[in-house]
Amino acid sequence: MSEIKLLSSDQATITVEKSVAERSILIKNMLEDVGEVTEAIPIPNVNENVLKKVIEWCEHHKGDPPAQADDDSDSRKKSSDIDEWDQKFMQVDQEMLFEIILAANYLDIKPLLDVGCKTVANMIKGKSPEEIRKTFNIQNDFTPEEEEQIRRENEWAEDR
Amino acid sequence: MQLLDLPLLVLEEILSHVPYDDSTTLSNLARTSRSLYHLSVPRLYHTLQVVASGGKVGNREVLRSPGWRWWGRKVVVTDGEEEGQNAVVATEGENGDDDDGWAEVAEVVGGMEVGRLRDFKFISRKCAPAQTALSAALSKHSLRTLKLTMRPSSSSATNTATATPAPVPAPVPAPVTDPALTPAAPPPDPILTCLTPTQHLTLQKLSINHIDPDDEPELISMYTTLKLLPLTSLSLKSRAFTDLDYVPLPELHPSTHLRSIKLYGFDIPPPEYCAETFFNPAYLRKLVLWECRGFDTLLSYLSKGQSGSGTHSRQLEELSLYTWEDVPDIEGVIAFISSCQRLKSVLLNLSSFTEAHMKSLIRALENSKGSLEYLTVQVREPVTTRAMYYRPEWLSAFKGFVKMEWLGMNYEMKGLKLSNITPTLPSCLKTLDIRLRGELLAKPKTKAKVITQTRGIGRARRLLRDVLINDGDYFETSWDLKVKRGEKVSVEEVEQSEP
Repeated sequence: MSEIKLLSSDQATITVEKSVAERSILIKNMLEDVGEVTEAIPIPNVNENVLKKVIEWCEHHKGDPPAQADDDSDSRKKSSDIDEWDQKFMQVDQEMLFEIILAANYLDIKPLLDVGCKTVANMIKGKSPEEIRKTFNIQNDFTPEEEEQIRRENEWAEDR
Repeated sequence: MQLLDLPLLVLEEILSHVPYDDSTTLSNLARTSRSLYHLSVPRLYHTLQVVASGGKVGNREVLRSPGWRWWGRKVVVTDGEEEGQNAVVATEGENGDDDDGWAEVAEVVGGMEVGRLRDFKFISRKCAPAQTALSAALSKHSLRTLKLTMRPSSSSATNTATATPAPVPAPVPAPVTDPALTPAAPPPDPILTCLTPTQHLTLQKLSINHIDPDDEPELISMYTTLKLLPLTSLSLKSRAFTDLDYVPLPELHPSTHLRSIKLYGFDIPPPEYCAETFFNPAYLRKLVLWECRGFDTLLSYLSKGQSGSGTHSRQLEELSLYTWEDVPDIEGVIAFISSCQRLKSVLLNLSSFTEAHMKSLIRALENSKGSLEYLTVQVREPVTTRAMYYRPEWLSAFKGFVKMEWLGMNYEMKGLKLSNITPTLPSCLKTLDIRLRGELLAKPKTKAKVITQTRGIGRARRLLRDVLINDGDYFETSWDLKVKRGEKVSVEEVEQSEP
């Protein structure tokens, strides 16, 4: 079983099975380009905690079939279903959730990016504007007049 | 790190998981802050859903927002009508006073920014398209997809013809004139008078439902139009396709653009003629032939290829064949499937099978084992059309189908023993549609046993999420089971909603 080393942004070295690391298309392409590597591969945008979490996800999903090239369809987007294990995996604080999403985006792990984005989308669904602001600590930067105008324009969309 | 600190592309990815029709969520997001407003409003106003109710626009309040002008990309007219309401009302309402709201729809569609509108779908089954709205959509010269339903009956044609057209805000294309039409003949459907090929060169996907096989002038007019459109996808559905009142196949140029063909209830002409006048099989990716007379002869011809090399169907990825009629050349159909090597999706619902045909079908499918993702097979005996069932041992080849995510089969078993199926299942299977004999499912306590045994399949196939259990004989029993994966694998029945 071949292993490789990854170097996080905070200089921690993590050893990981090559097949697990190759869930990341970025790492997979890099390994294909450079061939055998003995030194740790720097992952400058991801710190140790987040990288460990991402590896945990990759280990659990290492047997999954690779995502299809044309898997960007609307049917995939429509599903808000998240696997039970993934749901538990994503039960982290918001800071970590967004870091995982960023790492998945940087490392090009599409299924993990999907799970993260679906998790955030599910946190938004069914909430009022005020609840969304509160959940994600968003400042209301509309004037009362603007807010009223938007409410009127979108009145048709309320409670359908 | 907060939500709004994420890069724009990631925020857009998050929003892509909020469906276009979840307008409440999108509207609430738009009211949250300026940045989320700019992200969510294009999605909120992406699809204008018009509900046709009793021939009138049932949700006119939706039309009053200015958002459609800037962001509208798709218009869908759905049927909100209750059963039994007469579709003629819909066409009668096309008068100048716009009591029915269609001119208002046309005004909104006509006001959409040039180049944005891509799709127009009129999928109401009881209501003919409001011509003003359709004309406005076509006048944008940007449509890629058009899905239409022909007028409900020929009697309504007279009503449409006598009605005064409502004023249209955008220029109306010139109507098609066909010399074959005599002055006494009823005019072609308003759909066809709007579709002038020279003005709709952007159109790529066209779907026309509810074609009247007895309305010859309408067919001639439609085929004249179709011949000149540079389509990549064409779907034609006869109104009477289950009554075997076949529609003659149109004569088109065998375009290299045409990648997808769906025909429902058509009479397929001799294959040499078909390949010369209708489509170029070498370029086809998708072929759907439902209740089409002569489809078996066509497929048999395609399997041989023009020079006998079988090159005709090499690119085909999606095949869907359905008929309850006897199929004289079932061997030709199987030979066609065998000649395809890149099939991704196959749906077969056919009669005239024997056990030998069933086995040779599996061998034919093996040629696509590296690509097949979706397979559903339902075959019947000749004449009696009784359902036939596969013995699990005939299906051992399936475990080598490396991409198969959906499998639907009729399975033969003496007693209930779903574990016999497990060794035949591919490892990446996500959905399994098991059809069993009716009498087997009718036995007491069967559901509990099925649930227990499904758990076993779920443990052996870790990606399996959905198992559908159906009665293959009478279509009376249907259980929808969900495989849940926590600490242990469990199986739950999902309540089925009323149709």
